[in-house]
Order: sequence, then C-alpha cells, then structure tokens
Amino acid sequence: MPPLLEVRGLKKYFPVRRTWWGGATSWLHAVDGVDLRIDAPGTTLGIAGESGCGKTTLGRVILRLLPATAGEIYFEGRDILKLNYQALRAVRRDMQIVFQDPYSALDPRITVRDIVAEPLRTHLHLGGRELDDQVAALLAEVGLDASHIYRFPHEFSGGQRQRVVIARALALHPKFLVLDEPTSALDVSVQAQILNLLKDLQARLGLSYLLISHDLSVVEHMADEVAVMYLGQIVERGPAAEILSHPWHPYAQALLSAVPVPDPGQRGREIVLEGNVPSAVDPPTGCRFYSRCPVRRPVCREKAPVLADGGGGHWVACHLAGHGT
Amino acid sequence: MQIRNLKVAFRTYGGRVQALDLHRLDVRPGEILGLVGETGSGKSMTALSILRLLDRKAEVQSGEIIFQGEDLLKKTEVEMRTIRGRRITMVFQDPMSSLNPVFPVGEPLVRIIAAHEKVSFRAARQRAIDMLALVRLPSPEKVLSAYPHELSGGMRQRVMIAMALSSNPDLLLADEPTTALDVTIQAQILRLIEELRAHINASIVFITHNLGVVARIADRVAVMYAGDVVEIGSTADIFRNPGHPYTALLLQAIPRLGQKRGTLPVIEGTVPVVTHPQPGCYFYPRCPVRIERCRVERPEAKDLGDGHWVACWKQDGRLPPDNSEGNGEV
Repeated sequence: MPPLLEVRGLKKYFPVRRTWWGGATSWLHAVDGVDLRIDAPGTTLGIAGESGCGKTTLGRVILRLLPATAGEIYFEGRDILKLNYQALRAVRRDMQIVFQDPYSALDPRITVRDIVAEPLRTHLHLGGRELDDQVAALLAEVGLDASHIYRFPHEFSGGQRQRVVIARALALHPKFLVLDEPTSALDVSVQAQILNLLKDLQARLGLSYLLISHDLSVVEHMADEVAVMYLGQIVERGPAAEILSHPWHPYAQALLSAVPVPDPGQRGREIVLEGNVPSAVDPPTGCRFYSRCPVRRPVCREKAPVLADGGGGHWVACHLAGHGT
Repeated sequence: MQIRNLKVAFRTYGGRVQALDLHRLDVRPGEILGLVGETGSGKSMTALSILRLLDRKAEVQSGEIIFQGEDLLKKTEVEMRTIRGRRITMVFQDPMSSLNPVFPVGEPLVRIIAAHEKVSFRAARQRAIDMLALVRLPSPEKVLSAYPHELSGGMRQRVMIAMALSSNPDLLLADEPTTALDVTIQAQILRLIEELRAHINASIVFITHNLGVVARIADRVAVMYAGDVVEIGSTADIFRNPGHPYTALLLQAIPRLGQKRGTLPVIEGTVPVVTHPQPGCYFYPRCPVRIERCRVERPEAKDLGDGHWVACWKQDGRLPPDNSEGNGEV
C-alpha cells in the first residue's frame, strides 16, 4: 500500500520584487526542497519551526490551497499536483484543514449549523432532515451541545469556536487533517481541552495529522514523527521521542533548549542563539543556519548539507551531525 | 508598591462587568514579580490601573494603589504625568504598534530623555546611544536612525526596553513583552532582562500567560483568576508546591517536554466573565475540591508561611494526588 502522504522535493517560491512588465526579479524561498511522508494512517507528523520558516506555507501547498513551484505530492499514491479540478475536488474530501485563529476562520454572519453544513451541502448535496442529523452528530463529536446549533460564532468562546472549526473539518470524514497552530490562539486550560479532543478523534476515527506548531511541547505531546524546519528546509526529522530528547542539529538543540519550562529549577540551561533568522529572499548558499550556528565550520559556508539518515530513521542536515553543542 | 481592594468595573451594553476585584498585591523593591493568568483574568487591567491609563468606559470603584507612600488613585492627571513614563514605565506586547512607523526609533527615545532630564539635544542623543548599547543592540548609532520596519521584532522590543529604562524608573511594567516573539528571540530578551537587573534598580512586574517564562525569570509569582490574585509566593513555592487548586490544575494542563502523557488533565469550563459579583469563590464552578462554604463565602488570602499567600477555603487548597503519570515534578 502506498503511504498516505508523500512529499518529494516540494518548493514554493513567492515573487517579491517585480519589474514594471511583471517579471519577478527575486524570489522568497518559503519552502525550498522539502521531502516528508506519513506512512501509517492514524499517526501525526509534527512540523516545528519559528515564524517565517515556511511551515504554514508547507501545509497550504500540501492541500493545494497554494500552487506549488516544483515537486510532487502523493496522497494515497496519486500526485495531487497533477489532478484536474474534478479529481482534486474528490480528493479534497479526504484532506481538510484546521486554522490557527478560530476568530477569523468562521464567517460571523452565518450560524454554526450553516458553517458545519456547508461542506455537506456542497460535496454530498445533503438537505433537510439528513443534513440536520449529520450536523448534530458532528457537533456532538467535538463536544458541543446540540442546543448551540443556531448560534453565531461570536456567542462562543475561543475554545468552542475551535471545536466548530474542527467539526467543519470532520464533516466529510476526511482521512488527513492539516492542523495549523490549532491551539496557539487559546489559553492554557482551553489548549489542553482541544489537544485532548484532537487525540481522542484521532484514536476513534483513525485520522492522520500534519501538526504545524511553533510550540515544541505541543508537538511532543501530539506527534509520532517530527520535522524541524529552518528557512524553508527540513534540518532534522525522525521519531518524536528521539528528536525531542536527542536533537543532533545545532538549530534543533537551540530551539529545544529555548522553550521555557515551567520549572524554576531548570533556569539557565538554554542555548541563546545570536541574531535573527536571515531573510528567505535569495537565501545564502551553504548551510542556511551558518550565520547563527554556534559550532559552524568553514565547510558549512561553502557547501549546503543534505538531509541524511543518521541511523534509526533519524535524519539530519548538518556537516557536523552529532558533534554539536 | 501596594495594591489594596482595588475594584474596577467596565460599563458595557450587557451591563457592568467587574474586571478587577483585587484584594492585595505587593511589589517589593528590586524584584521581578511574575503576574500570570489567562485571558480576561485582569493582568493587563492591573497594569493599566497602576498607570491610570484605563479606558473611559472603565471605572475605578474603590481601593488604593500605594506607590512609594502615595496613593496613585488620588493623583491628578498633571501629577500622574510626572510619574508615568518616569518613575513607572511600561513595555507593551507588540513593539510594532508602540513605535511610530514614520519616525526613526531614536526620535522618541531622544525626546523622552531630553524632556525628562532637561538636557541638551546632543547630550540626550549620547544618552540614547548608551541606552541602546545597554540593551545590547549592535551599532547603536545606526539603530538610532533606523525606522521601525528596518528592525526585527526582537530588536524593536530591545528599543522599547531601552525607552522604558531611559528615565531610570522605580517600577517597570512589562505586559507580555516576549509573547509576540519566537522562542529563540524570547530567550535572548529574557537573558537581557536578567543581565539588566544588575544595572537598574527598578522592580519589574512581568505580565504573561506563559508559565514557562515566569518560571524562567520571576522571583515571585502572583496567579490571577477572574480579577483577583488567588495565590502569590516565591517562584519555587508556586511551581513546586502550589496551594490553590487553580494553580495546580494550570500547571498540570501544560504539555511538558520530556514527559509525554496520554491525555492532559483539563480544567472544565472557561474563565468566567463577572457580570454579577457573587459572594463565593469565582473558581467554585470549576473547582474539583470545592466545598459548600466556597459557594457562599469569598475565601480570604491566608499565609502558608514564607510569604506564600493562598485564597482558598480548603486549608491549604491542595489537590488530591493526581493519578496521571508525570504529575507536577519534573
């Protein structure tokens, strides 16, 4: 059986400066040659990285919400970048997205019933009793009361809105969900509720997730596999437990150590990186992390490291893999 | 600084909303006090009340804010201007919206210094450069004439910190200063604040929703819920030995690196909006250890020793031992 999702050499460039006749003079390399795969159904691949690393763009390109510049995306063995409109529509039933901000992801002028019913109407042409039953079942699935059905989004709290967004994403019984920072707009106590809901749904419905998050604790809690991105490229990937306990790449090490841990006994163990993420417009040749790397060598400046298997499915893109800080 | 029985309400179309009902909050000289709580718990309102920068719809109903022996709530607007921005300063969450995009970042900084210290433009400029060097900005002369959009988020926040410290204040209110930043940049700013402590003698009130950040930076922590401080104590006490069930549950609800758990313990329900002040504890509806008394009578803060105050009727408010693996201890 082909893997559920396989991405090969995916690139997405955005034009930044244009000449007056419309040709682009430079490109922002948002996603620059990404390979990843989700083998088994019911598993979660976490994408971790800071703002501007291309993780959100990656999620959108995989769903073909943005056109790709180059590469291949196989969903259940079919390259979805080559599908025509009709075929893509059919595939989209199986792939849905949960957005970060539940305040802007819901149309404020229509009721929750209509929000959740919309995919059922457009894809399955349901109506009447059948539609109402399905909507009620979906709301129950995400832990919302059936009496909430005729309310508008503004009548809900952030956590309840995110439940509505999840109900809408589940409406067509997808196999695969892109979760783009699903809890970063929420409070801690509500975050726990939503993470538990997502895990529970995964266990019951066999969903696969691509979880995009800047919060490594959330990634660790949810993911089976993790990929760490920096400036449009994956610098390290492998089993979550392995990557988050023994990262090899100096960026992954610094990122992990910079996460503030709610324990005053762990102060002062973080690796503080100098400087900022360089611009993704015309990125540097050689290793992209070179300018901030605490263990850089001359070779890193000249030659870009490639993602290589360091054993046990732990892939890392670093010339000094394993000799880091 | 001491806050006592501060009540602030908002007038809304839906009626009066009690935003703050703060019984007691002290800030000691030279300390970093972490003020934590979820959205709507009143953290920012507390800071705005101290600076008397509340919205017109807000109304201070009662209470006192004693700052160096004087009640800020009794000050006139003219008197406040000699305090605000000089003795008490503030750093906001989003540095982009605190800086004017059409002026170089040095412009307000030099002007603040010139206005507060009544020195020449040239001297103020030199002080501004010193301040930017103090917050570890590379080539401070260049930064002085840079526009906000030319700086990164972390650099802008450094400029804001320089601005807040330029008048050598006694109290610095930092409202979510690292929330808009990436974790590696956040680590830089937290380290900067730690380093600056040696150079300044201001108390810092560090407002955040991130318990990890508080554990990293604060000497003492105050936990807010529904407009009041429910627990205050040393950072070690709050994190190792929380006395209020809300604090304990909040700590359990965070996913932590290095301890994967199947499901996270949750606090059922949501933070209440107080439209009708009730006699009992505001955490009552969500509390797993509530007793009848909590519903009818508001708990008073009790000292558990070592300045660890908890507002809970259950003697020490501790939760029954949690059965999920990896509870509490790291």
